[in-house]
Amino acid sequence: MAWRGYLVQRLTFFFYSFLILLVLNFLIPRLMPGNPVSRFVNPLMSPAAQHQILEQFGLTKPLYVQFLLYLKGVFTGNFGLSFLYYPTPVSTLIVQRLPWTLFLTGTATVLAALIGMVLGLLAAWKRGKVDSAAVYSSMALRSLPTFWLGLVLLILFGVTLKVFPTSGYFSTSLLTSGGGVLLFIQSLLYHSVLPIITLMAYLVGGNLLIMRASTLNTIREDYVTTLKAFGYDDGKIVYGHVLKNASLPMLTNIGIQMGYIVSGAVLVETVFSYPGMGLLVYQAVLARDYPTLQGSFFVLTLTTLVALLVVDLLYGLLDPRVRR
Amino acid sequence: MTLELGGDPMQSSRGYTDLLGRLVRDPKGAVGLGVILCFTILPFLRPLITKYPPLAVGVGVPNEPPSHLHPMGTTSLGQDVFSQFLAGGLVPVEVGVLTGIFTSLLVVLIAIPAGYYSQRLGRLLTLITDVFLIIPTLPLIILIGVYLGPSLINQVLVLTLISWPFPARVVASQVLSLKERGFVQGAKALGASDARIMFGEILPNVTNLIISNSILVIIFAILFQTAISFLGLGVPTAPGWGNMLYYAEQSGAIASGEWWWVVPPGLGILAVAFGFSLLFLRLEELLGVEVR
Repeated sequence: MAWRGYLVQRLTFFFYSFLILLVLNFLIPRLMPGNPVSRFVNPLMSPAAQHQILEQFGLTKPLYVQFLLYLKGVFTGNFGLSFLYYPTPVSTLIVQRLPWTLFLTGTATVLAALIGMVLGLLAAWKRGKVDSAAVYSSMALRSLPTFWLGLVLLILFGVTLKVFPTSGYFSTSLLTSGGGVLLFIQSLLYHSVLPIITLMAYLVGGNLLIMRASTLNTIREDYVTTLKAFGYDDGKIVYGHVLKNASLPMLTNIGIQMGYIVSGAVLVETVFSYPGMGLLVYQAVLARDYPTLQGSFFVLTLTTLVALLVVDLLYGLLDPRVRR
Repeated sequence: MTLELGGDPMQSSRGYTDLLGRLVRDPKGAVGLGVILCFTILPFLRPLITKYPPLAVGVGVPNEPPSHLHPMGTTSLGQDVFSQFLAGGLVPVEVGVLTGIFTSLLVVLIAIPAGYYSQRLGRLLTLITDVFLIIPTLPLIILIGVYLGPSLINQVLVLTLISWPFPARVVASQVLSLKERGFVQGAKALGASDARIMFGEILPNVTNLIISNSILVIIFAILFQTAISFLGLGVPTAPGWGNMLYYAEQSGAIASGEWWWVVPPGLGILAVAFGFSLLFLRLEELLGVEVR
């Protein structure tokens, strides 16, 4: 199976998963007890008024018509109006919030991959005490509720020591003082330090374990023994040969992690009041803002599917067995 | 009828009776199990340790740091944090273990046919598994959780719905390799039905894998149970560590730096989840399965 076959396979998977997402997003509110609007139709309203609301949401039409209308909405980016920020369209909210979530998750993913890669490599190469310390601490990291780590960091560095901001994504004072682009970027980075560290904590643990396992497999291979026998020094073998071969399984793992990273972002943004999609979802939960929840779920899942596709294609480019 | 046509030595035939004994004979297993049992029993011993009921309001001055009267301080409603901490472990462990059991049943029903049938049905099940593996967990639980409303059973249901894909994938790939083995081919040659082969021949050979994976599911479920409770999808009246953190956040304990209300529940979750991780490591050794 060469590159073309691989491409077709990944695109087919993307297509099917997109179909499943479309159907799932349509069915969830309709499979739940009661009809989708029973929660916000006031029972004191007259039956005529209730019917009017149902009609407004298109819920009096046959199911297949509802599905077609839903598809039309999805493909024109129309997810209805938010209850919480009425009458702002859900799509407007999402367009404002999504970039910040992408920034947080993207940075955390890349940094966590690099750190996990180096530490996993070291753990497997050094063995002994370094190795077991690495394994147990990454297990502890994975047993840690991400959002709680965020709360503790926030209390320690934000509230008590006051070295990092406790909320937002840039200093609003910059808006009035009109600081330059550089100051703005500086403020952005400064506000993202704690959220990114929190988000990374879990990812590093998983990456380390996978990198360690794949390094252990790689260094057992003949060519490593041969290089050693020829008297190459450790550094050259590890960074010149083992690293490249052992990091491929980790790249696949990054793809699988995507959904988890998005979940982490929801929690981390809530803790740090970071105005991305996650905070939007949290606010929508508290306000029982169904259209926003529905739209956010759809867009977050779609983003994850696209990210997975990108990682998979990248993997295809890097793995010579596929690239051929 | 067990066919041994070059088949598996079937580790499970040694029986699970002595499993507990062998589990605790190793420090990992003993510590892991000890920590879990400790936090499961503490809620019942709580009345003997502290005189304040966990949800009783106004038993102390609100927002007070730890003192000898309240070793972990008080909440904004003047509740005793120590009492809440002692009571808070049962809900996550309960929800986690129930999710582990339900998920394992679902894995048996989905993963075995997914690996066994190479035709349409198998491919469809594999595709569904792969897609569910990718869908962002938390937004999905939140969406369904908001529609279903708060109850512990609903929490178990939504957690089960999102926990099965990972173990299912691991088990399905094991089934895929088992079905080429002699004992399965032999059973087929003797005219055994598909159901008989899947659940009589293959299932016993993946039981160990399912058991060890169910522990990973429990850890996952405990962490997500606390997370969704923190986000306000918990059961308001059930004392749990996730709820404690939700109320702390809602009453502004973070902004005013009330660490004594925030640190204990998180350490509790960490301890229980780590306990299950140790148990998992030990079980992996005992059952002879490599998951990664």
